[in-house]
Amino acid sequence: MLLLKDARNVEDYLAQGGFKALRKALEFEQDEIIKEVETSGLWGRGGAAFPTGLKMKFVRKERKTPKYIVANADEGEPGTFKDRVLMERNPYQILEGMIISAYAIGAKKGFFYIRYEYRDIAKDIERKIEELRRLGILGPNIYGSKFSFDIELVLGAGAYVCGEETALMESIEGKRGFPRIKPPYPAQYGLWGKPTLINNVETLANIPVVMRMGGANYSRLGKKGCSGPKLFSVSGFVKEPGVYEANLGEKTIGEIIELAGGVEGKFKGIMLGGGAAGFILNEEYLDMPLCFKDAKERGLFLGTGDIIVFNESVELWDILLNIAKFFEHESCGQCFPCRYGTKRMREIIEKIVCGEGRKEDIEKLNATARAMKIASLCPLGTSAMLAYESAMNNFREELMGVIQ
Amino acid sequence: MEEKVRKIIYKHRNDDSKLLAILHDVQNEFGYIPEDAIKTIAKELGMKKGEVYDAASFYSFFKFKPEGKHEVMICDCIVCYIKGSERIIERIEKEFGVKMGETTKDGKFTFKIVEGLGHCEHSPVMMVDGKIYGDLTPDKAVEILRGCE
Repeated sequence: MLLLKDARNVEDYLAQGGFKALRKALEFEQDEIIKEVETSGLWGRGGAAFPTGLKMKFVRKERKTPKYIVANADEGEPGTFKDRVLMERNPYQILEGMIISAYAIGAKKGFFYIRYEYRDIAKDIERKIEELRRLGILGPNIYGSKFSFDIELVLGAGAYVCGEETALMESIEGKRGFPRIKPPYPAQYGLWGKPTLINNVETLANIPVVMRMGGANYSRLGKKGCSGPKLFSVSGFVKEPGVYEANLGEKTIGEIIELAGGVEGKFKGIMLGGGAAGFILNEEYLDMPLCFKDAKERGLFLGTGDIIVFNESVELWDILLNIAKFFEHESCGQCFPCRYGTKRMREIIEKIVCGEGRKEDIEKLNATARAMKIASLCPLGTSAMLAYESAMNNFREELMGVIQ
Repeated sequence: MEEKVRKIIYKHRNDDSKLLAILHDVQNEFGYIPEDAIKTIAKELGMKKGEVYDAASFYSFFKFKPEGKHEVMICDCIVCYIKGSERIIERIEKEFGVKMGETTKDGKFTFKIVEGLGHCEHSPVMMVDGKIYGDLTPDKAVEILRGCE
């Protein structure tokens, strides 16, 4: 495994060749590192799947200083726990990736933002940051080079929307986590208005892999044009729920479910991409390879890479109500389409769950979903209806069965 | 109190990201964020009291009044939900005579529903004072809580 290794203390990490990638990177020119990452075909693992090298390039070419780097460990998507497991099992690889990325873009300061629910892990990461300072791997003149860099840990305080990159930056700045209007993007206008590279922790953990193997070799992992290892959170009705690693495109949804011990009970469907901002799919999708491109071709996205398995005990309208309540609670309230739309979706679905759903309600739901998709400010509002829409596509008969 | 809050603020003088860190420490110290602490923070950071409260009140886990001795968060996200979190919530409400969001009369527990504790491989889960308990059944949840001092 390239990501899911067990290296909980620094001795183990060093014994497994840890920080060799950093030493190697420090001998590279900054642009050479970015070139390697671009060649590797690494795309962001936090949900948006943006090419990582390109993002680095955008920050690198900005003239404004100082530049910042942020590790996003605000893993709040229900059904997603791969960042937590990665931070528990292989934390140094994330930190190493962060240091290499900082060097490549010319950042001297980084922030590691962890959600409040993971506060024990946050304490552990803080201890590790301190440890790396003592070892000369963080702080002034890293490994005797001219490069100096330090990391500050920031603990969130309970807000799903802060996983959105600009909301997270507002939060680091000590404000409420309201997403900003983009553009300008963080590469131009990030933390305190300065160029900022913000990456998910799993993305960062891939950077040392790219540097060790070289971008060209990395790009051959998995399916062409969709490369590298990816973590999948598999939960719900499987016999061995957990985090599983596979190269992108190498395994199908069905194969990952088998890796997790197979279905508990009779298979009904899955939720892919996120436990809230995700898609409800039927058995026709079981042979879909888990790859950004295969997902896109079917009008889906892998999101954070989570798969929640439903068996016959799961009622879909109940699930949709649970998701609608989630979004109503987590909508930050800044923009009207999302603030009102999430409430309206919840109200209508609640009515349907109570057995009072009529055809007009479905029309109202569809209209609300459309408006939110067009007009919401950030991905929270534009993805709040994905579960409903995909469920309607794939389980129409069952869902309409209770509508008068 | 002012002295303690000032000490906390001083501890974070070199941080670039101060406010959340200060609020967390104040909450750890007093169990919640008292109004007087907000006053001191505002003064020391050159903010208005309203600005500090505006930011702080946005986040679910900051508390502005004292709560029970033990903080119990029960996850009701989609994974915990399909694995039976509602039955656990129902049972706890009956057993402790409270609704979610409330504190028991003896001040021992405050119960909250949260959405996504991030331990879905052990759903349904709850967190008691920061510690995760997984693979719960209604009986097991009550037993764990009865075991709290």
